[in-house]
Amino acid sequence: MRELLFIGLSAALINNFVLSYFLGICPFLGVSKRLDAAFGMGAAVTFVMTISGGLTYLLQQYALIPLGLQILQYVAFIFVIAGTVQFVELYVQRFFEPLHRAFGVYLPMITTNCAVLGVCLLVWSKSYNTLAQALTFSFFGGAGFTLAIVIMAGLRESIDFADVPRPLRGTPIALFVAAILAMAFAGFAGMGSQ
Amino acid sequence: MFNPIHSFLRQSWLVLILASGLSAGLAGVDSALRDRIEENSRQRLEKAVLEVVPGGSSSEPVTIAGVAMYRVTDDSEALCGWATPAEERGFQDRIRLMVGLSNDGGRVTGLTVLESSETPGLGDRIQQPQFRDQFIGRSTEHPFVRVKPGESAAGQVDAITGATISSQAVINAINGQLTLIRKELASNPNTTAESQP
Amino acid sequence: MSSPHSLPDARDRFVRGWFAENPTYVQLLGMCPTLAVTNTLPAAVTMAAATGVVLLCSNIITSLIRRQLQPHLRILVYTLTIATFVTIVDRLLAAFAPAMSRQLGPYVPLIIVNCIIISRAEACASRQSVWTAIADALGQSGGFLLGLASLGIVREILGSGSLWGIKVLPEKFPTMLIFVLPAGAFLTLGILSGVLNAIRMRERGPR
Repeated sequence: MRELLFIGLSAALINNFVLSYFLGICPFLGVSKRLDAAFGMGAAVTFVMTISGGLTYLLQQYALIPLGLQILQYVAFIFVIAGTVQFVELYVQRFFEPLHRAFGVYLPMITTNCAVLGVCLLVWSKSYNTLAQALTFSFFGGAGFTLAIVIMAGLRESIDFADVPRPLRGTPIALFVAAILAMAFAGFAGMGSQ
Repeated sequence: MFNPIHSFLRQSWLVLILASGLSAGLAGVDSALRDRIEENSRQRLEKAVLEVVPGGSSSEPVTIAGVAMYRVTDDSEALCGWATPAEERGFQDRIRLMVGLSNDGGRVTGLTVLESSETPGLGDRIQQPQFRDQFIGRSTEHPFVRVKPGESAAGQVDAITGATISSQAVINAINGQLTLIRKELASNPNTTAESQP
Repeated sequence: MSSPHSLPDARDRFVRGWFAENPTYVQLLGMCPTLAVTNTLPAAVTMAAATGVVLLCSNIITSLIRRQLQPHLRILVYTLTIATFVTIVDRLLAAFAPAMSRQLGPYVPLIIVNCIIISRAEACASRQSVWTAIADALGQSGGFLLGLASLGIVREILGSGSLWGIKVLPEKFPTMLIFVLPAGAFLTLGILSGVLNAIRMRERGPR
């Protein structure tokens, strides 16, 4: 249990997916201009990440490795992710109409979000070897992504009122804010060690 | 009459052909490169093993007390040491080491870092000889203990200034492995343990 | 049958990919590898090369089959093609450059979701002849190389005092570690983008 807690903490804060691993930068810079949009994107991504993380883990562990088909890993993973996004979209559209109206527009973008494919691959490069570890890592990775993108949105809403020099408006100032945020999150390193 | 199979094929023939062609390509690449890739990672481990046991020229994987490690022999097939991987959670992420031990497990013969993502300039100085060499030649009778830089006596290890946690992680990793295998090695110097195929 | 205007069109696309439609600074695509692997110049160049190879192969295949592509299946086809070529490039790196493959880590398979490749397949290769698609791929890859290399050079020199592993700064010169850390990646890209914006604004003249 403690191990799982640490995996979650590590995924969300110590090695934050956006600010440490640089996954999900495109939505981080693109969608993070409004707080509610950012939260919607984050929630949708977390949901897809958790499901894909679990499914790809099972696929790799119980199908690809036993059959010696690891060469198909990337192809299989991206299709699992694309399929997950499709199913989630259909499911949400059918059964959670208000939710779909709020967050549905972000769902198609999630397939090309580095964070989703990234989390599925990181589970294996970090040698997590139980489904519980994979799911914890995926969920908290998504939570960390949501945290970063929501903080960013809040900060950018404030920047809207600031007098930013013309060459820096838009992306450059967002990147400077991200740099400071990354420095802040670097402070989480060492947490949980003896 | 609407024939579902017909309709399916008419829509997806391109995808099916493409998928077949691409998977044939992947299968070809896999069979051509798989051996070489495995050889690369085997060589990397062997290089680390031979680095931490001076005088060794070949190694074989063995299992001792449930721990997967390497038995190192020299040109004349005589035992010249053991190498064991050790890992521990470091400051940023996990640290993996290869520790070399003498024939009876009583001394450390070498230490190399396999994997670490510690802070450049601070924690990643565990990879530098100044830190690693402290362990070489030391007895393994008592667990290693971290002290402030410059204060070490026998059995004590100078930490790196500003990298306490990384230094401690290396020490914990080594101590951890030693507690598992030390007795086994000491009681049976020429252990003919179960070799892994 | 290629259009009568394909040759100047191809040349045009090739040139545009480097500066006018630079994927890193103008289109803001492929940000993930741009920030992640540019802490040393060799890694940056290898990533750009790998992406370029995948982009080229993907554009060629997509262009060859463009007339048979069903509109509602095209994303599927792009994904399949791109994922296959990325796997091939990844395996080639693991076989012939294992140290670099380890350094680049999970970012090589992440080329699959690099927006540059899918957007070129959709915007260009699926509509143009093979030669135009090739020129487009080479141009965009060149632009991406410029983007990654510019970051790699700045981050490696300022962060480690070296360039491609060779020490270029004198010993006394302080190395600013921040540049090889994640914060420095954001910082460098922000500074370079700001500088480029300033240059572009000056070129356009006072409004």
